[in-house]
Amino acid sequence: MKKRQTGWKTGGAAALSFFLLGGALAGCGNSNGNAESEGGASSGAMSLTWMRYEHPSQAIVDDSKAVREIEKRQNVKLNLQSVPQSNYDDKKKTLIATNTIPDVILVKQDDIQNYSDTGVFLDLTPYLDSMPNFKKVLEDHPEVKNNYIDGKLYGFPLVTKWDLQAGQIPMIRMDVLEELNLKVPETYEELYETFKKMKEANPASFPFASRAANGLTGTENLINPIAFGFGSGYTTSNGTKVYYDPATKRYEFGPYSDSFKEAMAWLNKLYGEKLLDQDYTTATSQTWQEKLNSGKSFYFQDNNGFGNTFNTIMQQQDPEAKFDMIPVLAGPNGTKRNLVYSLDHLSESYVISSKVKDPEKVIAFIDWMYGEEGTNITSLGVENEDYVIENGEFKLTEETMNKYKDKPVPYYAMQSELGTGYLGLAMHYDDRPNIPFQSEDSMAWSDTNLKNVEEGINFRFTNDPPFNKEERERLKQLRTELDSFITSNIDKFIIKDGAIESEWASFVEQCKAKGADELLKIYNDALARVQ
Amino acid sequence: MASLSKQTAAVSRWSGVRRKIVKSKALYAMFLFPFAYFLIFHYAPMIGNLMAFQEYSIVKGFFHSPWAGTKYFEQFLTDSYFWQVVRNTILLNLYSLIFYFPAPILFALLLNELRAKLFKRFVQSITYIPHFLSTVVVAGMLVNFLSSDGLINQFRGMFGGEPITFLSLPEWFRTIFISSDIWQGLGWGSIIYLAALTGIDPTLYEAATIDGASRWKKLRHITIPGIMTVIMVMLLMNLGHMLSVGFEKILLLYSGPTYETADVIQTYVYRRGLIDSDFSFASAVGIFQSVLSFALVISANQLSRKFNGARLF
Amino acid sequence: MTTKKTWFDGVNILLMLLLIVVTLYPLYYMGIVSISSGGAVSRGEVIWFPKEINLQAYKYVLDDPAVLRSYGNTILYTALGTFISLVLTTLCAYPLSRGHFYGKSLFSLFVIFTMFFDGGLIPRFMVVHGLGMVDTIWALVIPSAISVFNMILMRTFFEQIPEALHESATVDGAGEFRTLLQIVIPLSMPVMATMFLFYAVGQWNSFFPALIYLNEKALYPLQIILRNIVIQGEMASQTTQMGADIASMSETIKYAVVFVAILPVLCIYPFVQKYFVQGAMLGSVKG
Repeated sequence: MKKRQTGWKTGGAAALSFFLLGGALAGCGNSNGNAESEGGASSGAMSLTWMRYEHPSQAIVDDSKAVREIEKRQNVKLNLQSVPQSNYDDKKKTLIATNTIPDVILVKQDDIQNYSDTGVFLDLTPYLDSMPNFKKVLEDHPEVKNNYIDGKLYGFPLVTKWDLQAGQIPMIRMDVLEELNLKVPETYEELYETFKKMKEANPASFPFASRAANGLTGTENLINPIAFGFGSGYTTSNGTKVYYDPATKRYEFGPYSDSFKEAMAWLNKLYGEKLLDQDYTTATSQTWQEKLNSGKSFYFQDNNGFGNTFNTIMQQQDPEAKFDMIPVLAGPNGTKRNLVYSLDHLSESYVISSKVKDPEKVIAFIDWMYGEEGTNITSLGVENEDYVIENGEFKLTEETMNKYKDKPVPYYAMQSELGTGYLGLAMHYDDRPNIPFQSEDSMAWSDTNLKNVEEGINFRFTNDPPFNKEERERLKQLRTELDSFITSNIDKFIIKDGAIESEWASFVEQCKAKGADELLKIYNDALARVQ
Repeated sequence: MASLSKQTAAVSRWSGVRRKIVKSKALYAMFLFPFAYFLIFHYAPMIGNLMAFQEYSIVKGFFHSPWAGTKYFEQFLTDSYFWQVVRNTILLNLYSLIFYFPAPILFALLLNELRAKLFKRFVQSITYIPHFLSTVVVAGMLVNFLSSDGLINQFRGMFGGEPITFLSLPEWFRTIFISSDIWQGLGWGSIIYLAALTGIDPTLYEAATIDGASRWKKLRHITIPGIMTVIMVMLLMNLGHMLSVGFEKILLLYSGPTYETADVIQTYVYRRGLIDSDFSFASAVGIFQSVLSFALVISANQLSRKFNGARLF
Repeated sequence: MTTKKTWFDGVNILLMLLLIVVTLYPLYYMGIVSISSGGAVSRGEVIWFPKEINLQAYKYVLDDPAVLRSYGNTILYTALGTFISLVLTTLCAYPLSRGHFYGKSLFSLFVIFTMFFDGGLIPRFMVVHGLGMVDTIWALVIPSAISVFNMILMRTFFEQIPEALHESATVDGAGEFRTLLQIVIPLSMPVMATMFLFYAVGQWNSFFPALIYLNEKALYPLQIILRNIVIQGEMASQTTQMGADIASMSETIKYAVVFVAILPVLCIYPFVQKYFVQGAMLGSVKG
């Protein structure tokens, strides 16, 4: 009996101390004070609940400088609700589906397409005439027209005023080329020869590494830039198995073209001779970086921004190691083109709840966010406190540089406290604060990329045109079937020897049978409507 | 007159029932709270299953969305991938039942045989740690260890084997999935069996020793029957999961080449949900899974009842 | 028990040792990665030993005020949730274990049915929302209070208590409540300890209810904060330039996060172990 009673006692004591410990810890981190509700704002001030996702690199601070400035200058109190990005979709969909969204919430274009007809979002079209700043943005960024649903606009998209241009550009270890006395390859065929030489010198290596990224699988992320470079293409940015071809100005189905088949054959050659990462189908960003950092791989055709990261890491051990951009490679029929990322983030928009109390006031505030003052506060900080503009050039103040230079990633630490940036409060985003933290190489690469866009070598990813209800129903069915079929079958053309000769034709037949033509028609019809 | 005796019979039946109810009144009082809990948080939301039969619209809600009949069920059942995903789901669960289910039981029995108390505790504390690792971390490690130049292939290399790209081969998927499940669940899963083992009367063992029984005999005639009820109950509950599989891990480990063995009902529905949110479709699939699982468990329950009385209800 | 050691014991011990190695190696790997430098890990230099040892990853994780606060939140939710769950589950399992409970089969079916049929996320959210529990701690501990799986296990154990004990209690004038509290529960310490463990760990690891029902960042439990950090390396929408910058530290941080999250739970088990005492029932039957 006694034994059991002491059992209870220790159990109870433990539980009690748990409670106390928990309460203490919970309290000690709580310096922010969260009595947010009605009474927080001063007289006449508008209080808005504002929800967006939080990227782990840039914590969203409730009372960042931007929030305070917004309250000061616009008399608007932002009640920030940040949700971890990893599960933002679940939360967002639950709130939308139960009609309990906050006043302003960041959503994807897909969500707008799916739910605009439910009346949960405020229709912004009637207010556009009273928004001078936003109208200017519309003029400067005509692609926003893809966001209109049946002629109505429901979301304020995230647009970019200035940003570094990055893309899926060929990046190679220049030092290895020099060491092996190889010249810079100019065509994909020469690239293949280069890989062979690299492999001879380093038998344990797999010169070409790729990864899954940006919502696309490893396979999709590998085939996209290569197929595009060969004159074809594979998927859109959300994984639909059609692509927009700037040459024909319409959506095309990759596998129908010979260039695509050639691209697959090239990849098959690489894989068979062990020049391509053998695990590319399940390669993650992490394993990909490890290969490129450790000299297991020497080439990638993916976000060139990583070149800078890799150089920094490798040079800690080997000061000679260096990734550099090489000029666009020519495909077998002379095509010379690369895919680069869009600067805007038009697939992400802030929508306003249709239940909001003072729509005109909210609209006026958002228009301010797109104007010069709003843009600067939410992108750069406060002038003369955080930055200065000298001779038209942007410079961070001394004290700002010093404040953050010891953090693991100074740029994000700064943006977190200021509340600025694409991952912060900006709707019209100016990324000049990133410049002081970038290496010369990064800047040079960005400039080259921009130049190539103008010269018609680099092409930006585009977003889907808007679809109507019937099209969306059909797309759902088509895509689930067709996508699954293509996804489960495409890899064998890269991995298996001889699959291209024997099975390609029937593969294309089956794609056709499963509705590839209909998919194309839907996309092209929708495209025609916005042009 | 006949009605009178019927009435008396009815009255005495009713008073018999009343007596039973009164006898259980304290139990009813206890059960009230859980009952309310289930009603509010489980049964009330079930109205939501109406979504499966509707063209669900958020603004219209459950009671006013247009009726779609069995449209979504048909969509699912006639989908060309229906058989593949259902087959994969069931096979994965079957293998799980054959290989994963017995593992913690065996482990618990082996642990029970260990004499050194400290060593036993040490082993227990170590083996249950993997349970706490999130799926993301485990999947990440698997990708790492199973890559062509990862640990496993390096090991094979030492014995002269060629590297195998495990994760792009459909024939390996089930093995990898079940093995990692066992690695993660062995220690934790054995806890309930260890608890059951403590309930066996030690005097039975003493009597058996006196009778000169060997270790194996003791195992067969005392230990195993002693925990048989728990084993059967666990088995029944596992059967209830035959139509669903922990899909987060599959999502992180599968890829195009392995769809033919790895693609299950949940991953398929997930991909569809990515394309376009479809509550009604997901609901319909959910009901499909539930109905089949329930039917399975009911039949298994009846069988189990006959054989050794262990049952869920 | 016999004290004769046989070859079987040897094999058993060998097996256990093998198990320990297989279990420990991945954990060891995570440990050394978490204390190595990001660069060394990225270069693939960390395999058997840590390289360029530093605690930067841990510092990064623990410096975040959100982490500390959410730690406290989780402890609170776990304590409260486990307590509520244990009480409710016991109140459910006990009546269902008593043979004379009129309507037992029906009620059992009532409860077990919920294991298979579920309204789904949206309807449940609406119920919780309707009850005003959104953005409060109650949304985290009540909707998931009873796990039918656990309840069935508890009921199974309760059923194994000999009827003789119940009868002697009734003879002594004890009602159902007192029987439950003074006889059944003390005799069921192994299963109660197990249930405590199951619920506590379940609550500790849970993140989905918090994600859906909480809006206030200050209320977030540990798992939400940590999960975000762990997944950042594979985040779907890596923006163009940025995706590159935080890259190098991500693996070391990921594993540091794992250890930070599981440390307290590892401490619970030894504490709970002592309830797994054989022959708990023996004394009462004899006495």
